[in-house]
Amino acid sequence: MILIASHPPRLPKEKSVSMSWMIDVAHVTYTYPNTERPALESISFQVPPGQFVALLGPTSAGKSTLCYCLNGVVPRLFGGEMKGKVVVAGLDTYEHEIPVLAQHVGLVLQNARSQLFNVTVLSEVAFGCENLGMPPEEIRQRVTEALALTELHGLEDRQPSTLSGGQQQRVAIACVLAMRPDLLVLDEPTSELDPLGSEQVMKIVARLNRELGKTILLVTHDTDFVARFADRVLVLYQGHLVEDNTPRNVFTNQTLLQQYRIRPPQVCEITFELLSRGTPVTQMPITIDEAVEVFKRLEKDGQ
Amino acid sequence: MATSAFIPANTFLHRLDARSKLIALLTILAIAMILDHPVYILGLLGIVLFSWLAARLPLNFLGNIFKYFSGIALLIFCIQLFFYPGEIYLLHLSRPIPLIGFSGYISLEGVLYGLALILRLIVILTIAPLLVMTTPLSELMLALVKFKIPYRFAFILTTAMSLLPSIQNRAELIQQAQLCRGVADFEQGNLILRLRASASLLIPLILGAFRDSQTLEVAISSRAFGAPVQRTYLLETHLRPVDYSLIMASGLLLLFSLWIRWG
Repeated sequence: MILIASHPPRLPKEKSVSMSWMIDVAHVTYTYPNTERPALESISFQVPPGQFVALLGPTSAGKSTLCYCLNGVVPRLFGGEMKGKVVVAGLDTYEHEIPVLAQHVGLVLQNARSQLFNVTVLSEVAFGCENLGMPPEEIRQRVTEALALTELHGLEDRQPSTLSGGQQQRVAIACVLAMRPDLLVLDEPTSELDPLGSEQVMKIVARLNRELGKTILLVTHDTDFVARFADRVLVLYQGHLVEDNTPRNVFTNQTLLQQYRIRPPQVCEITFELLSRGTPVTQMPITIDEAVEVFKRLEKDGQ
Repeated sequence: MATSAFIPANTFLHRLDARSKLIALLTILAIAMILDHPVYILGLLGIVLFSWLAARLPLNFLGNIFKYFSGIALLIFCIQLFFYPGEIYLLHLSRPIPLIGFSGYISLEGVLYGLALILRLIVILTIAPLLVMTTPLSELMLALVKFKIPYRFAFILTTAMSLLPSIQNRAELIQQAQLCRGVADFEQGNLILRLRASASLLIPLILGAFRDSQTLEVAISSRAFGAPVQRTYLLETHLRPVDYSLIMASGLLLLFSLWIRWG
């Protein structure tokens, strides 16, 4: 016997109209309840579909708050006062409930352990689709697809608590992927993972952007990864958007990095050190591949 | 992180549908309340213990229940022994003390009622883990929903149950971390030292639980929890002939108990 033999139509995925931006944030200022200082102040930026954006900034810069704004959790769940306008996938977050926005924006949080609560990986990944009232056959199809994308085949019946940190975070990603969002917002998904777990998660994030064309907003301190894969870098500092530029322009600007306490990719740190010692580095590398080229050239030149 | 008390195994009890197990559990609880003679309740406890063995559940858990319950059981028994008003006297102890309700005698009815009360409590304490340990929480939640319990309530109940072991793990972790930092031993010293040590455990435990619950709230909201549609379920459960048999047996046992008591 199937539990729900017939059910009312599932929650429709509202189509966005004439969407030129996947994210359109205009003059957003948000203050948490019982606080005076805004967590975000006059934030404005737009992200076109398919772009990979990295959001950098020190602790308490407002990065997580900005992520929560994108699926309506702020201010619907947290309360507080919000001014300005957030439009995601053509939907105004003021006008649409979180479940409607959840079909367009997949939010993955920092702590994988706290966001998994089901008994098996299968039930965990199916949770969102079940909430949206999808038929069981479609849920099964979506779950299989999401588990394939996150390379979690064969782990369907495992308890999430028995998985490694990297696998748990991939389950969290699969949970939102099953809802087929247009935009994936990842709030420091690797901050609690070991290097291997981080690599597994980041590899999948990069693949989702490059192969499936998902728009990505990634909050991270892993600037090496950002240098390799991101199209664009936003820097938040004390609730203000202080920089919106390419990874190269951000990571080669030592003053900016120091001012906003951003640790650059390791190859940039090495190059800054070489420059301070008087080594004539003409082209600043930001990825390991570039660094190999630059340093080989330096070696050839006898430097 | 969410974990579960469920112990996977392929036993008769594990294979039963959660609904039939839930009905059997409620029936046994009802019978334990209806019957008041210790022999009948002992029979009921026998059924529970047999089921426990049949499900191959850890016996040390059962031992722990008895260990922690023994003190309270003794207290309950003594109260009934001395204060239950009976007619068949077994032992004359002193003159009646009406002020505290002591008749001066120990009666047969007091002994029997004391025993019945203890056995009834043991049945209650052992039957619930039997259900939780043999049923995955997802199936339990589904059973509640099929019994027309609102999904939101069923979700809260099963999630709270699933989070208990993780809170226990976190408590152990904090205890070890605090011991490493030189906080007094949680189980040694006088009452004040123990209370102070408990604070160093409880404060981070409660704060951590609050933080985790907020993360959980964001996580479930972000996955469309509470969407204004009829929720569907991937998991399908089936009532098999053996489930119907168990439900019928439970019903007959309940009728029999009612007949014994009031028939």
